[in-house]
Amino acid sequence: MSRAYRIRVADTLRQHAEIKDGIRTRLELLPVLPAERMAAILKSQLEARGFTCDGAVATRELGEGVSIRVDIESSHIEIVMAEELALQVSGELSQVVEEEEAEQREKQLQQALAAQLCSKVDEAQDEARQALTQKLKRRLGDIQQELDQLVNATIATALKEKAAQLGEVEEVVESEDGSISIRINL
Amino acid sequence: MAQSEYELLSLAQGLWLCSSARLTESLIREPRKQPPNYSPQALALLRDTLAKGVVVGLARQGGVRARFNRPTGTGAGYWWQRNPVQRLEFTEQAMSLLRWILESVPQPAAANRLDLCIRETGDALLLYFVYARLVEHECHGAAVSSPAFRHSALCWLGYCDSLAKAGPLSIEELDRLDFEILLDEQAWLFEALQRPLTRRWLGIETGKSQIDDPVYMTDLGVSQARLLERLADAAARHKRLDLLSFVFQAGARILRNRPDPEYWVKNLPQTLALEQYTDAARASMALFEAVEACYPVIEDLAAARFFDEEYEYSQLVLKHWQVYGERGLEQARSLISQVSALDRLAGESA
Repeated sequence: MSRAYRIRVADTLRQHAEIKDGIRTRLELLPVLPAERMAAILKSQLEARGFTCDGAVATRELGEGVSIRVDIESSHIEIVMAEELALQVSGELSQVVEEEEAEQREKQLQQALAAQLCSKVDEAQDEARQALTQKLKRRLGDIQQELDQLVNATIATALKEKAAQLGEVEEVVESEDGSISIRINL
Repeated sequence: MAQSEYELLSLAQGLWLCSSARLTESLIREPRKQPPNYSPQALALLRDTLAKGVVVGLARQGGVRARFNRPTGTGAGYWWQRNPVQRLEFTEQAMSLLRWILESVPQPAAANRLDLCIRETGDALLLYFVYARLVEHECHGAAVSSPAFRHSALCWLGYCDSLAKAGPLSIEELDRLDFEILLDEQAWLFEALQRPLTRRWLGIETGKSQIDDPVYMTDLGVSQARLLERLADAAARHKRLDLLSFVFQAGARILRNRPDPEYWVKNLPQTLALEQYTDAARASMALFEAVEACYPVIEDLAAARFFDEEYEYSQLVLKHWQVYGERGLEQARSLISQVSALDRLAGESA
């Protein structure tokens, strides 16, 4: 008569991963001046706001893992938030088996446990990604404000330059709401 | 007449007659063994059924009732007054198609058993009507992934929402869609399908509000964008931008209700990654982006003067365009901008 055994397997899975989320959008710049000149003005405004320009790309870190990348020529923006994630999940399975099948069942239990731990890691990563997405969404309002200011400043500079091309600029009035009025003498 | 011949003829008839919907559905759903050959009488009846049936099918779709000018300026009139009598050819491809329906259970495994090379207009139109019936009876499981249907421009134009469920329109598939023939020799046919295509594309846009799968939304948008870009390009070259009327009409009707940008994406899960969400949201705007892309050509046509060679053509296009017009453009631009606007996305986290 064969004996019955309780076999127990336990394991811990450790994983380091980078989770990230992001959004691609575009600055809506009115074509006040030719594209090349608008790009140059945009570049100077980005530099004034702490962006590092390398060729046609400007980047800036906003803290908390958020970075912005601007393609100066196409006005496309990429906002990315990334975080390092260190995960550790543990689990244990046990089963009562007959003596002669103990070895085989142990292997099966180990495989089942490994699959369970992988599934837990995927769940934990997904939860962490969702939390990251919510954090990013909360930052978007401020980022949008900053981008609006960038766009307004770029267009205002372009308008002044355009006005100077048309005639003698007599007065420039910029109000707090971002509107600008330019009086020129033709 | 043998039972198999009765089934063949009933299927052919059922493709255009709504009254035999139940019989058609049972012929599609249940596989039936077919003989290697049919009698000459059955084949003659089939030819007659197909020849008359496609005309009935087109007439029932409503497109032939539209009145508008021909691009060559022969004046206003109904479709049959403006288009010369067309010859429709049906080849052994039509027989292979009907046989495939009768013999195959409509499961995905049957997709590769259909090997067609459609060249004739009659066969192309039959393929379109067959796909329409398969979708209607929800038996298109095999057809969506079958190259025979996925290489049909008419099937993609009429049913891109259905075909995109088996994956987006790939570049390889797009290159196999013959828009040249559709806008040249088959332009009379494309003209007759404008109304049903308008209904279909309106349905596709309103259906987006029910989509909860971001991958499908993106695949559908990519398919629409590729399809319309290639179609508009061919239409401009063949001076048949009037045949984009179905896009202008569908877009205008949806914009008429002043929808919110959330309308297209309201069923997308809120737990999605922002990247996936915004990709899907942007893809949902494919129709409006396509119209925006062809606006420069329409703007040029608007500048045509009465003594210019293409003045009448420009007037025809503008007549179709005006239902969408500048107002539609402004509305669409606002929607496209808002659908993935940062502050709207930020607001959803509150």
